[in-house]
Formats: sequence, C-alpha cells, structure tokens
Amino acid sequence: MTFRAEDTALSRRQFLVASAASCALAQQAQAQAQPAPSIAGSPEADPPTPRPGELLLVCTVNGKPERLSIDPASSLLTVLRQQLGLASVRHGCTDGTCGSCTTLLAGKRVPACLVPAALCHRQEMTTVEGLSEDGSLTAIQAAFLRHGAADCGFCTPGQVVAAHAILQEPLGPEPSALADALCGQACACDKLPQILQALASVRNQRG
Amino acid sequence: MQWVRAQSIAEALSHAGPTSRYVGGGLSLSLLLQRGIEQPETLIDLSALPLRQIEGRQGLLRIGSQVRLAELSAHPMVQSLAPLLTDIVRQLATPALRNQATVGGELLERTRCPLFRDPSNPRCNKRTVGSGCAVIDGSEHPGALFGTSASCVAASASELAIGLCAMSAEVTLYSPEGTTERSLPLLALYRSPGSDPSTELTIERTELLTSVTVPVATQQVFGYARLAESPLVPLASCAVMLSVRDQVVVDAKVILGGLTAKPWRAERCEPLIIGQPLASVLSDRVVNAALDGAQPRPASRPLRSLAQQVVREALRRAVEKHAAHRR
Repeated sequence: MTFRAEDTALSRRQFLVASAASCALAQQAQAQAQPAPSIAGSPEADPPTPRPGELLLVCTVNGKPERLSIDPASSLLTVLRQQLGLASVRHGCTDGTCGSCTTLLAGKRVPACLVPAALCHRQEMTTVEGLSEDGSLTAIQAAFLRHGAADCGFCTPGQVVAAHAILQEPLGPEPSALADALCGQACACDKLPQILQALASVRNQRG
Repeated sequence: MQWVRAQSIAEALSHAGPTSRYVGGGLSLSLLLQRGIEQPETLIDLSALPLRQIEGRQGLLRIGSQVRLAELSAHPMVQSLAPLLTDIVRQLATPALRNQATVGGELLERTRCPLFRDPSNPRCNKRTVGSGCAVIDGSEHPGALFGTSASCVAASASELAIGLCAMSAEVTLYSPEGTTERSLPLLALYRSPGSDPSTELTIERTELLTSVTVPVATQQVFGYARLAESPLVPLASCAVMLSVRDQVVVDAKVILGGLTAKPWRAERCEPLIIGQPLASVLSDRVVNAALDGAQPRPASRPLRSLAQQVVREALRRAVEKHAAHRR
C-alpha cells in the first residue's frame, strides 16, 4: 500500500493554522495543568522510552521533573534551550569562557555549553527562571536593578545565576575575592563594576 | 553515538575500544565533539563510579580521578598537606569550569593549540598525521619551546600535572586487557610528539585513570609561578620542589609547563641546586640552566624570557616558603 504525497501532506497554510492552534492549546494546557507538563504536552516531547539512537534523560529543571529523549552528544545548553525552551540560557562563546550560559547543576554553577546533557541524569538544574520560589525578585535580582547592573541584557541571566551561586560559595578574605569569583563572566557592555556592587551590597546586607 | 552509564570499573573497561572515550566532567570532550575534532562512537560515563574520594594515609594522598577541581582545592586535607595543588587550581580556568572539571580530565586534556582546535584549519599533524602543521608553517601562534618536533609544536594543556610532577605523583591505571591495576609516575604518562603527534600520552586511550597518588613529605617545600594570557591560556608556568636540610638543598625538582610539549623536567637545572646552600638557589646560572634544551622558533623566541621569569619566581617562592616554615 502506498500513499501519494498530496494525500498526506498539509498545505503550508493548513500547517500554519494547525501549528498555531496546537501552540495555543499547549499554552492553555500548560497554564491549567498542575504540575505543568514537561514541554507543550506533546507525546513526542515526553517519551516513556528514548527514540532510536537517543538516550533517556531524567532530571529536574527549575523544580519541575523532566523526562527527555536526548542526543548523547547534546550539550546541556542545547537541551535547555531547544528541548525545554529556556532561552535565558544564552548561546555565547561555546567554549566555556563567557559565562552567558551559567546554570546551576546540583547547586553548583557550570557552563551549560560544555557540560554534556547526558551527565545531568538524575540531577537538579536551575536557570534564572527557577531562582525565585514565589515569582518575586530574589535579593540579588533586586540588587542588579538597584545598581543598574544590566545594559543590553544578553549576559544578564548568566550573571544573575553566577551571582546567586557566588553568594552561597565560601569566599576568601582577600579584597579581590568577589572579583575573582566573577572570573569567566564576561560583559560586553562593561557592567562588571555594577555587578560587583550588586554582589557586595547583598553580601553586606547578610553580614 | 552510544552513551554508556558505567556502574563499575569493570563495566567501564568492557566498553572501551579504539573508538571509545571516557567522560569525566565532559568539558573538553564536549568542545572537541561540537567541533567535530573528536568523533568517538562510544562515550563511557564515569560519574557513577566510586572515584570521587580523597584519602590520606601513610604519608600518601590519594585523589580519585573523578574529584572535581573545586573539591580538590577546597579539601582540608589537600589544603594542609598539599597546598601547592590548591594554589594551582585557584589560578586555573574559571570557578564555573572548576566545579565541573575533574582531576583526571584535567590531566588528560588534549592540547589547547588554537590550530588543533580550529576545524577550519586543514593542516594539523595531531589531527591527521602527515597533513602538516599550520603553526610551523608561519602562524603567529608561538607554540611550545620545549619537547617539540618537526611535525608538531603544540603545548600540553595540564597545569595540575606541573605541580603533581614536582610532587613525584603517580597515577593508577586499569586496562581492559589486564584485570589488575598498574601505577606509573605521572611524568611518564606524557610523551613528546616526535614523528607521530596524534597522541600526547604513553598509555592507550582505553586505559582508565582511576586515581593520583601524591607522597606527602614534610621536609619538602614548593613554589609555583604562572604567567597567563587569560585564565585558560597559560603562557609559561613552573613548579619547584626543594628538600632542605641545615640550609642545604638535598633534593630538588624543577618542572616547566605552559610552553612545553609535555610537563618538562629541567634536568640540567636540578644538579646545580642539589648539594648547594639554599642561598645559592636564586642565581642566573640556575635559571639559565632551566632553559637548556629549549628549541625556539622565530615566533616562540620571546617566550624564553617568560620562561626565565617563571622559573626565577617559582624558585623564589619555594625559598620563601622554606623561610616561613622555619619561623
């Protein structure tokens, strides 16, 4: 039995209408469901078993359990951005030096562009979307605002995640300790002085 | 490509073959995969193996190969017994990379030669033996000063190895062919490129590095110095070990890195120190002897003075440590 292409293929217009409808439905479903489904609620995105040649990744992202089929060669960056739609994790230098994809993995900050996603099996990850538990600004986010620590905003999510992590890391007594901790967090708009001020202000508040 | 989550050393070894790679923190492998420079068929994930401990006993510090660099530098036993390692790690890469990078991965990392890592460069004997070397053929990249050959001038990547070689560390290896472990002085793990630069190591890639063992001798003092272009690109580094009795140096090791094809023991420098009063260590004669064996090309000639600077500084810091110990 054979199918002719025109029997099954959707026209471009039908396809656009159909996909718009499914997006809207998916958004609605996501808003209503408690807890929200992993991504868009489509069966393909929530596989019980991995697709051929792929690997099952079970993990928690921003507090939400996820079950994904991934390419074994995928970076954490690719999975967070392309499979989970977390565009705050920026695709920057892809060699681990710019800091715009900084993500918390098991509570520690890592460059998502160089961490193989497959290593994150049964781990917890947090991006800027998951830093606040109730949707209000965290102390460091408020401090970024107060100190004008963002300009173009490209690197800001990674900077906020890094700053959040730095506040929980042991810091040496030397005067350059905070600046050293920001090593690997580049800002093309040169806002690092303001980011440092924001960091220092939250640290001082906490004593 | 297949991903194997090994549950035991035996299982990891059973999947090892000519087209497999072990994965620790995965950082440098991930970069080479994304650029198509490494194309393994099997990736063997070591994260479930019990290789993440640091133990001290009988004058030895045993560091599991899957210990993260951040864990190494923060470990109280490392800070008190091997502060040199803490000193090196804190200057290495970035805090985020150090959270993920493993000790084993850092020791086995492939060269940072920018032309090796550039997939658009077709001439790299390390990637394809016989294709030529774009660095030797006129690139502005200086390449290494020591241990190079006519086919490759790439510098070795590991900084931790510089300090660990100064401490006479050994590595423990398991091979798929044998069932028992073997150990090897860390310095003997690395090779010069010669006519086949395709590997930087004397071991097979199927061998699994499980731990590093460091003898901890209380009479030894260490000095480390590094000059870097950026956190990820060391230009020159040097680690010095001095063992001193009654103000006389009874043993010494001088290891150069950053501009060397492998961790480089400055053999002609050490005899000038051993048996001499501590006060004579900081001489031009000693520093110049450390440069013996350098093979500068026009682009790398300026590195000579950098090498002299780091050797002098590492020696000075070791002498200073000894003075501080006596106080």
